[in-house]
Amino acid sequence: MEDTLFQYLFVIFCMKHFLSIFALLLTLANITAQPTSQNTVAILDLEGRGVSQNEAESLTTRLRSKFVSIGAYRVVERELMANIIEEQGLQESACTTDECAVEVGNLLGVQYMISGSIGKLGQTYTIDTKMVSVETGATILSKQINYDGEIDALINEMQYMAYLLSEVDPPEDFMKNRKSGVIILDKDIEEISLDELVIPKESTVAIIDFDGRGISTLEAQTLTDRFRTSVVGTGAVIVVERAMMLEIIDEQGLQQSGCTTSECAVEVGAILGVQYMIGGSIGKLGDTFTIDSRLISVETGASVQVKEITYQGKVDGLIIEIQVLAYEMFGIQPPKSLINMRTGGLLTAGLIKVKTKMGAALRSTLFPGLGQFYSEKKLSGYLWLGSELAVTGLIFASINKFNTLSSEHTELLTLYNNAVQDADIISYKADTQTKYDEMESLKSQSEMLVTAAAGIWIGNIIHAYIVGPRKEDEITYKPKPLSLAYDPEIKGVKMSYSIELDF
Amino acid sequence: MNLISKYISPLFILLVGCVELPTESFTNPLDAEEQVSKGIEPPALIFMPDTMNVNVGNPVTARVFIMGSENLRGVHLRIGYDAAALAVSSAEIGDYFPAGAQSIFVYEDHSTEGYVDIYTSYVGSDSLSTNGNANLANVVFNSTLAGETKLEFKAETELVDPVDSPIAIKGLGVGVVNAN
Repeated sequence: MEDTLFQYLFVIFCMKHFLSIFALLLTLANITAQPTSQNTVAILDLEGRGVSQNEAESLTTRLRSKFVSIGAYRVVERELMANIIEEQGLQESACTTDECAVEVGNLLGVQYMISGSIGKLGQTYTIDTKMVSVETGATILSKQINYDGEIDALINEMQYMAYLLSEVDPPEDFMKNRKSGVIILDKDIEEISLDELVIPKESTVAIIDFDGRGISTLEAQTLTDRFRTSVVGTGAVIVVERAMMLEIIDEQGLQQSGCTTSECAVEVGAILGVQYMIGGSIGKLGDTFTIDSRLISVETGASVQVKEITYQGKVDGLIIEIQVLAYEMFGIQPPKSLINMRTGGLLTAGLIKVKTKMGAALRSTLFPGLGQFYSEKKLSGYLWLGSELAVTGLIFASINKFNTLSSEHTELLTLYNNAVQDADIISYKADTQTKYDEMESLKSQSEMLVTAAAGIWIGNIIHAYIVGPRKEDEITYKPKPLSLAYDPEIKGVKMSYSIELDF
Repeated sequence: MNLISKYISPLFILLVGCVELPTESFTNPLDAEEQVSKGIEPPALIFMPDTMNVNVGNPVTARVFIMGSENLRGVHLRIGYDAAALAVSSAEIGDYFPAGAQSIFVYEDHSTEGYVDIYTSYVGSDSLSTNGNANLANVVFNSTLAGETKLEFKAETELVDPVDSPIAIKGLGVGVVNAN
């Protein structure tokens, strides 16, 4: 009876997990059949942004088939993968996070999962892919391609991507047939120095989609995607996946699109449990594009790095600019090969120095009101400037009158010195004395005004310091003692309790 | 911003130090008030200006004045000088006498002894005399040696009234010639 029950349960188990078992057997069979290739990989359909999902699927299919033909990895068939995903009550299109990929990879019994996206910006297509280790969940490889041309030729680029991800050199014939396409270099190709990182290495960072102003949301997303994968490519920080971030933001009833202020970024960052947030906007004015971005410390709310880029040219060129930004945002020197790919006219690109109280005070030391203007306290800036100018005007008037009196005094003194008759001597002497007294009075007045001007000047410096930007324009965010937040390092929700120690 | 930092700030700082009072000094040698404070009371003989600057080899004019005269008709001036540094070039009468008034003017240079005698007086009506401040004579010296040298009235100097009675001289000024 017990045997019958056991057999019955075994049959039920086998029927329920038929596909999983089949996949496992298939994988084992493949491994046995081709002993030279030991690593197995599953490729999720790439997300389409600016290209249709059908086109993205077709291109992924080409990537898969090329992977198979290269033979560096054993590739799980799409149908099998789709079935397993479906069996688990998932949708492939929704399986965009590393977590999901790892989960699916575990079910498929593969070592690596490949995911990514295909975007379009102007006439340029972008292909961003990454290979995740199912065992560790870490991104072990990320590759990017920019392609300028018709969509048809993307088929070739997908094949090229297969070579890149397989880390196999493409045949010469293949390269000759490739019409164009630019490989975006990453840290695998060119060594980059992480010595001057503006934040500690391997800090956790979340990147909010850049706000598109004058460009479409899809274009802004494509650029943010490229920025994100480039940041991952630097190997400097741990980046929270976009899908995971959106999920958490959505759970908290927030909207990423409306989160453009530092306060919101800090709030979202705290919920995400990251140390730093990056946000910004991409704007268009005529032929000129602007990228404004900030790296914000979630702990202090301070802007650790603020960077702006003004670019003139085709929208396509923004892809390179955003990649350069990914390096410069963390104080990393971008690879020269990447810099050389810059097209169009880069009008300005520079770090915006973070405003400080001392900066405000120094500017006010230079001239009253400047510190207030710097701190964007325009009204008080005008008041200080106006007061100083008014007093300076009075000083000028005093000096002018003093100079007139001085000339008259000199003339009278000359007359006195040349006078011979007593009456003249007495008269000129008295007049000279009167002028001298007036000059003396004006001198006192001028000194008083200069003292007032100096007082205003000093007052303005103190005021500029007081009303100046708080330390690095921080937004005071006080972490709650008890917090329940996603931890990107353990890739799970973590409850923490903290006590502030006031020494 | 640049305009302010480059030009206005330094200008402002400069202007702050612009209001400077001159040293108040009344140095007219004929100013009785000033001379009295120095112990020279009228009637007095003085040089005006009392300090003369000249380049070596050039002439310098010493203007001799009477300060606070009363009923003055004639004078004998003996002006001592350093013959090694100065040489009398010429001498002429000042504007002591009103226009049209007849007068005499004689000078004798005693360069060996280092002094020059000047005689000047009204001629004609006995009652003619003058009061107050006046330029008695102008003596032109040539500077021959660099340095500071003094012009002094000697004791033989005298003032007389219309009846030839001497007028007491209460003060004698000193002239200084700076030759460069």
